[in-house]
Amino acid sequence: MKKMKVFVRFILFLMVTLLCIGVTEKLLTPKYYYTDKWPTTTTYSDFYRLNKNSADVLFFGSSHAVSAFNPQELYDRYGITSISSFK
Amino acid sequence: MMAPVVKKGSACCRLKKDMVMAFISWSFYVFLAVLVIIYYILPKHLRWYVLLTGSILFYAKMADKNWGILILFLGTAIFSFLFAILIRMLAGCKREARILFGMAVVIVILPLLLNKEANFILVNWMKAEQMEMIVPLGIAFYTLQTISYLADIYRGRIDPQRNFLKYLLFISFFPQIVQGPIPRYAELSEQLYEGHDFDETDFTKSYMLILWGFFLKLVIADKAGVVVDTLFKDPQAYLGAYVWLGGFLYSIQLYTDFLACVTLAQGAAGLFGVRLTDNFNHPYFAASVREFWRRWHLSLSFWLRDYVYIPFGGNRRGRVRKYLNIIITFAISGIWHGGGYKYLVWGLMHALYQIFGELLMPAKQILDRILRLKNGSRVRRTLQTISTFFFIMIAWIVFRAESLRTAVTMIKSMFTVYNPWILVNDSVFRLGLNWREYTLLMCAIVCLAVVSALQEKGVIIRDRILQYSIFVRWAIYIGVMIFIMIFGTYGYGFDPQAFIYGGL
Repeated sequence: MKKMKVFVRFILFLMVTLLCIGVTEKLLTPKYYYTDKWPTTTTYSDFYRLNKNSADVLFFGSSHAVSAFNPQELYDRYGITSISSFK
Repeated sequence: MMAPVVKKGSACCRLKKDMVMAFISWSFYVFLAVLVIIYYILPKHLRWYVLLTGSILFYAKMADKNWGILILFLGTAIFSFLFAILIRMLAGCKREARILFGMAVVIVILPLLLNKEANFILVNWMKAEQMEMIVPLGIAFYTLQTISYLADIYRGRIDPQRNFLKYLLFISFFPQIVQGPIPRYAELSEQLYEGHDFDETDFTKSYMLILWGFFLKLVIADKAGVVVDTLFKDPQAYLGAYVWLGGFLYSIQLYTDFLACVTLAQGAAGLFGVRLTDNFNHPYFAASVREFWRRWHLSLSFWLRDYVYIPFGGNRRGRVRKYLNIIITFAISGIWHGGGYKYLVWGLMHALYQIFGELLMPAKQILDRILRLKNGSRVRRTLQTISTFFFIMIAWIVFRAESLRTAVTMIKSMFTVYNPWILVNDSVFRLGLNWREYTLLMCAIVCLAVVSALQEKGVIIRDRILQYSIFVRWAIYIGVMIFIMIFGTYGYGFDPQAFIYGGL
């Protein structure tokens, strides 16, 4: 009985730990990793996953585009929703 | 048993990096978990086979299909196993036993000496080209372990192990083979063979040790290492106050890195109910260099004391002989740490510190009287601790610098180049860490100091944590894990998997 208790506690601890780590990882993952594990060359794919009419502006170009325009900054300053992608 | 020489570009080049990945890789913990489960499922008398199999698999994995390493290691094991029995058989004939023991020690130590010194002698003394050596995992540690085993048998303190597999387990026990602590047969062997019951408290404590080890390695050592690497890589550019900073951070890095590895080893061994001895006792709290060596790398210090210093006569044969013995002991310690003049000089520095410390005792007493410092007062102790740390730091700079000459330049600049403003303008933020990381590093170092001070007072933090309710405990465990995950140092350019001492 005692052994069973220890075992259950162990499994429970493992599950809670994994859950906490999972949540933390989800919070800390850069958002462009959401749709792709290798997002360097495919950020445009996020565009197709957007909800309809959710972005006012699309920046699209070479890597300069994605490096030059920061949608968060634009939103914070002017309230404009945008997406920055490149191919 | 000469260390076989392999050609350049072969597997051994990769090896040095791989062999120290041991304790902080995911695969190691998966491996450990599997072993732990099998260990506690099997009947008690069979449990040591699990440890043996684990150790062999671990060693084979580390050797990375380099058969030379395995042959050298197994050769040392077989050889010392047989010689130990022979020495015991000759116990009645003193002269023969002594010759046999001497031969055994020479042969066991030869691969280590070749490994450490051959290239140094070839390049510096014979002006020849460097050879590529194979570096068996933990050679510096298992060599000393084997010698202490042989010496203890020669002196009749222990009986030789007659079961080769059991002996192999003692030599190769995987948590301690990478960086020690260097065990004694009498302390470790029975623990390995007897098979332990599962004890939840011990298990949890070992788990906490592993967490603490990760904290030391990833949050302190590797973070400090980023700055240390930058500073020591370009000693011409970083002089004066930079050397003070580098010396301080390297002292912290080396300590926490080594402590981390030993703590992880203790944690891993503890999961099987095996207790490895402590290797450190808060060395930077020492108030003299002599005391430092009673707190730093204890298993090596005790080894040197029992098998070098005391056999040479220790302090029983007059003052001159005592000083000579200190010099010999620390020269051996220096050579053990690595090939090259700088390690020898580093060892000798520690010997001289101690000798001068003793010779200058009357002068120190006069100084105490002038400064009105009472014996045993807190101020006196603090001043002594700070000055001891300073001298040890200077020796660590020699230990870490690319060469002895570089070290001299760096140390000289500490007193001749005046640039303290680099500590207050943003120069230090250009050394690889930004201000947030510095803040974190400093907080972590303060945390280590507080924990050490508590331990010094006899508080066992793990026991305290165990007194809390299950929710608080779990919150602590998980909180610490997440903290290390977020604030540990990894990523491009960092190699958190390489322990400093592990390459020895």
